[in-house]
Amino acid sequence: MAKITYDKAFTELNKILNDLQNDEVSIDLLAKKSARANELLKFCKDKLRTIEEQVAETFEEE
Amino acid sequence: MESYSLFEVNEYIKRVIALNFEDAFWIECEINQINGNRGNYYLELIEKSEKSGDIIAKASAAIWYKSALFIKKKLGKLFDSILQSGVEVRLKVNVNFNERYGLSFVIEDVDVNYTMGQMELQRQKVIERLKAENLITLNHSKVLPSVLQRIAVISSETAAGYADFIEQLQSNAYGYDFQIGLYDSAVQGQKMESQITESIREINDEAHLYDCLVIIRGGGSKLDLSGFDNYNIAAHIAKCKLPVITGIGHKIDTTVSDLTSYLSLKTPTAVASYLIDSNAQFEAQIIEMGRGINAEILHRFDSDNQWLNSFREQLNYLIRDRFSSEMINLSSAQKILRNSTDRVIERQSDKLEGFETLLKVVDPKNILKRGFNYTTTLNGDFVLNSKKAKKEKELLIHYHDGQTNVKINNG
Repeated sequence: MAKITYDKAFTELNKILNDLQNDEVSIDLLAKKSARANELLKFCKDKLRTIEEQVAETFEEE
Repeated sequence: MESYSLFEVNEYIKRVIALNFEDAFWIECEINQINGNRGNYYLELIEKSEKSGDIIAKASAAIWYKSALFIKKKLGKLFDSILQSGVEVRLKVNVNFNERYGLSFVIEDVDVNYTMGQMELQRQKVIERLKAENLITLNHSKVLPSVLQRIAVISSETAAGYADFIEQLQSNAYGYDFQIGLYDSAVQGQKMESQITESIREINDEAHLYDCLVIIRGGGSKLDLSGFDNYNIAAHIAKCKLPVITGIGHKIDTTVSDLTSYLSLKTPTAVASYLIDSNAQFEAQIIEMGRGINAEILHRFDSDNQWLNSFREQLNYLIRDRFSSEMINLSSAQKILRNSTDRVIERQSDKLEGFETLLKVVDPKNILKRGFNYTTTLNGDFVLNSKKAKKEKELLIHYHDGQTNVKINNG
């Protein structure tokens, strides 16, 4: 998870959502997929917040 | 043949001269030498051939103490200027012959206007010649550097004018540093011509060391300054490799050397002021340029800064916009994830419920409850038809709440 990029994480998240919406996820994998999707979601949010803070810092540095 | 003693002859000559030169008269000549001694002056008078310049006549003369006092009173400061070697003079003389000292002119009076006129005549001739040789404007075509710091000076080291000049330069208010190369030369008298022209030749050889040549001499009578009307000096100035600035005499004097120089100023101190002002002007230009450059840079900084600031705001806005839209994406993804997962589970549980209902419907227990039952042998084998039932003696009938034994009557 540490090495994944925001873009890759977001793409994977999107695919899981699509699969879920199209009922293409087997029930056996549902919990696992849901957990993965939540993990990706958290990663994306954290990453976004970190980058936002970094950007805000660079603006304040001037 | 009769012979005479020398004294007798001289006595005779004396009588002849005294008879023939009763009254004083005026003569025109040039002073070749003059020496003063205890109030008396002893002169050597000459006349030169106009064509060759050779001496064609020569005589001794004297100004006795009393006459000298009279002439000094009449001429004032001009006395020394006129009564010096090389000057054309008109003199009122008595011819005197002394048995012991021989022939001598005794000078009683000096005609100032004659000398002045001769000078002016000579001056005009020199100017005409310089014009004919295109030397009047030659030095004007030199270029005076913007900064004048390395100054070749022709002057007399002991002259008051030189001291004033140096004093003025050194005490300049701007603190400019001047490097002076003095070429000590007589600025009046017989040696003046040769010394000044020699100095100009030396300076030409070292012209790369200097920005300009300054020729200065403090005030004096018109006659004192007449040396600068000399053709050779004026021509050397005209041909000098450096621009020549003259500061000769007082306010109203213009010598021929002033005419041929690059720039003629009235006094040595005026030259010093000019040098200082010229440098100050250059410095002012530089300072002005510096201000201009500074202002231009500040202006550019200002406009660039404004542009950068607006760019920064724009950038900030765009980034925040991007973040918020990304956050919205993630939030909606979260909702979709939640909903989709829930729906998948919901649909699955609906299916399962359907199955359950169906299973309940087909569950044998429920069928039995509704009044159906089934039959097995005592061993538990299903008896599904009468043919099989007829083969058995006893059967078990199964109900939803138990079973009963029945005996078969095959009779």
